[in-house]
Amino acid sequence: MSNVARTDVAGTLAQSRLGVFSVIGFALTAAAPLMVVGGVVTTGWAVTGTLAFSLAFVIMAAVLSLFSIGYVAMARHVTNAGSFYTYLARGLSRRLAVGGSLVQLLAYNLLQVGLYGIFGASMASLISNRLGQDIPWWTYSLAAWAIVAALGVLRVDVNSKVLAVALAAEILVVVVFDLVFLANPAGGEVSFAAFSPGELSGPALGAVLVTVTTAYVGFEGGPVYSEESKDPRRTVPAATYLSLCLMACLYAVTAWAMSVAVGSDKVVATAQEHEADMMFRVAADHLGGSFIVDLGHVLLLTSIFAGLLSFHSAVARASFALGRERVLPAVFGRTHAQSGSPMIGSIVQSGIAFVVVIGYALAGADPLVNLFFWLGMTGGLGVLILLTATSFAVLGFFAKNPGDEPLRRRVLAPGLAGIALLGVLYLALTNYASLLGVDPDSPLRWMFPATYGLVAVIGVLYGQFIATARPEVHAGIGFGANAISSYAEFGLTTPSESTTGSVR
Amino acid sequence: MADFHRPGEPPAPSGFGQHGERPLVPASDPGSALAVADDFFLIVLNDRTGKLRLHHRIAAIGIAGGMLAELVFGGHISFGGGKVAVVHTEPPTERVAKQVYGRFLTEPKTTDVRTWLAFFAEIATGLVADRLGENGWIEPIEQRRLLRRTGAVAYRPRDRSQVAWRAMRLAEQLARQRTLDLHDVTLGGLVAATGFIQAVLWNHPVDACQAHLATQLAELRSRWPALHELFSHVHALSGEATLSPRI
Repeated sequence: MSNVARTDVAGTLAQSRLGVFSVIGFALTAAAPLMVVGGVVTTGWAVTGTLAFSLAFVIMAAVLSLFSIGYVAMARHVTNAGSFYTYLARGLSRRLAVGGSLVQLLAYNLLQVGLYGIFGASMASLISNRLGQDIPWWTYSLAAWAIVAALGVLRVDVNSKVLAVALAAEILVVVVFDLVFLANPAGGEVSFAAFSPGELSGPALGAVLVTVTTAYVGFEGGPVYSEESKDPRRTVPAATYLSLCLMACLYAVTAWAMSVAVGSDKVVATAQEHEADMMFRVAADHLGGSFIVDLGHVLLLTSIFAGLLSFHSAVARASFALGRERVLPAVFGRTHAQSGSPMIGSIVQSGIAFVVVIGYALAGADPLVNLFFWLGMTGGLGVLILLTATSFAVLGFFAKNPGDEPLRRRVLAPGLAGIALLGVLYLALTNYASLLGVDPDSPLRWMFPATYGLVAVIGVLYGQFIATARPEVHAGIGFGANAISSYAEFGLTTPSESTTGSVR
Repeated sequence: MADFHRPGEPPAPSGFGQHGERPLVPASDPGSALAVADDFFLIVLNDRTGKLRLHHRIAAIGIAGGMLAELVFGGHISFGGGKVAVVHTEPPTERVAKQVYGRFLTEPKTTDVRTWLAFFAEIATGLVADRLGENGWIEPIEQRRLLRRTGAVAYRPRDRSQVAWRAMRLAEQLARQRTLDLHDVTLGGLVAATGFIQAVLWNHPVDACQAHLATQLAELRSRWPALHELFSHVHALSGEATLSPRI
């Protein structure tokens, strides 16, 4: 029988709190390491035609670490941290934040939908290689879609221990591959060309930096766990830096090791030939058609699937928070009773994904280049835009609330990160054709980035409308589940409501 | 069936009263012995499967809210500006309420409503299930799956129709636009704050019922601001549970 007297408040609440490694586990699940090295990097080589990913991984890890200093510092001072638009609302302005919230929804939707492309393509190639069955990629994508859509609404827990084991297995497979690659250098010589600054120049630079930023998406998830971590002041920063560091080492070394095994002059051609199969093909050349290669291929699929689910719920949760704030219609703030899932956000995300996958299937477009890489990298561009804006939001927030944070966290780090990210953004936007691998004059080079401009402008105008027409909603922007205006009255539809104010 | 058809049963609009001014429910109600937390538990309990119809973490927040509301009714605690004010007075007579009140007295340094609510949510479901078990409403049964014990507990109602009636009763009151008494308006507030109102009103005109509840809650707010604040925290914590990636 439960007994109130024998428990204490702090002790009871601490029992369910998360430690550093749990938070890293959650962050890396979204990052899907095997998918990055086996899918993003290899497709990146094929599309951009540049070798220099290893160096780019190191550079972006440095920039994102710099960014994280101010980011995790501000997370300690705001509720509902972990959502970029919260930072924009508290650091810049609520109107801008509404624009940011739409950019965020678009970016995470693109990242999620893009993964259906690589899932379908990888599954089709595995089945075709192993069983000789040629089934179109979209069949597998739609099967994955149906499972994600159901799990999203039912919120079936993928056991965190299962995720941890899968993640550890992924990392192990990557490390084994790396050792095999480095032990078998092409031409008998280990080349460091992948780290050469000379490779990282020209129009490809912006493209490579966006690709690499996309690979790191997931590192920003730490502050989501602020309220659930053992010691928010230490757990979240430690998890953020450690996961960045782990990803940087794993990605930079693997990209380099693959280039060593293939030969730096042949990497691009091999990637163009084998695309997402490249890593497994190269590994099979040295290991034969062994168990570990098949295991790697299967883990690639589970890794992509975990990423699909992770971005799906990120979108659903973001729409739920916006529904609670009444920035999106209140219906988005509703949950599925039994599962507690943000039901409407989940259904809408699945709807969007369905339309896109069907559209690509009907158009006969390439699942890897046109769906995974184009949409995924454009999603990464959205995250880059948000990271840049968030750096300035951190500056703005600490200008208003200096508190006891030292100058380097309040001003120096976010300022330098902001400038660096602006530089990366400039390079990305001016070289977008090379990121997409299209003709330099193709209108696609501005159409993709322009969608962000469009939704941002719509969002800011809508934010302006909210500020004048619904001031009580405007006051709650950025508070997520904590935005309780009396207008909302706990999600009930009230015919008339005149009082304003909110409870924090 | 229930007695709210009884003429003269609905309280006057001023029926919220002050502390201890009127009984929580009419004496002839079959659930008159029920505390708000117990009633909330039975509303979210599936009378057929014995499982909770609301996610266990969110249900626990609602049940904890009910336990705290009981202390607010009795004038033992109050809320304002996110803080708990503990009133040093005669403890409640009911065993669980007395324990909960005692908990507040032993940790005077913890004043944050959120912290208390999160703490009681950890233990509320067990406490209330025990109390309902002792009062003959339910019996806990260990769930089995393929001859294995899963460790999860279900709660088999002793009388299914009595359990099913708790949700129907609230829905009927709202559908008939009755003026709710303190017990029922608190129940309505908790059900709305935990997002369970659609499930309760499944065969009733949802919009009209919700609008009626909103009016009643607005009225409650002017008389019992502490309860309104409690609902707000239950609503926010439930929302955070939904936002939590590891619910």
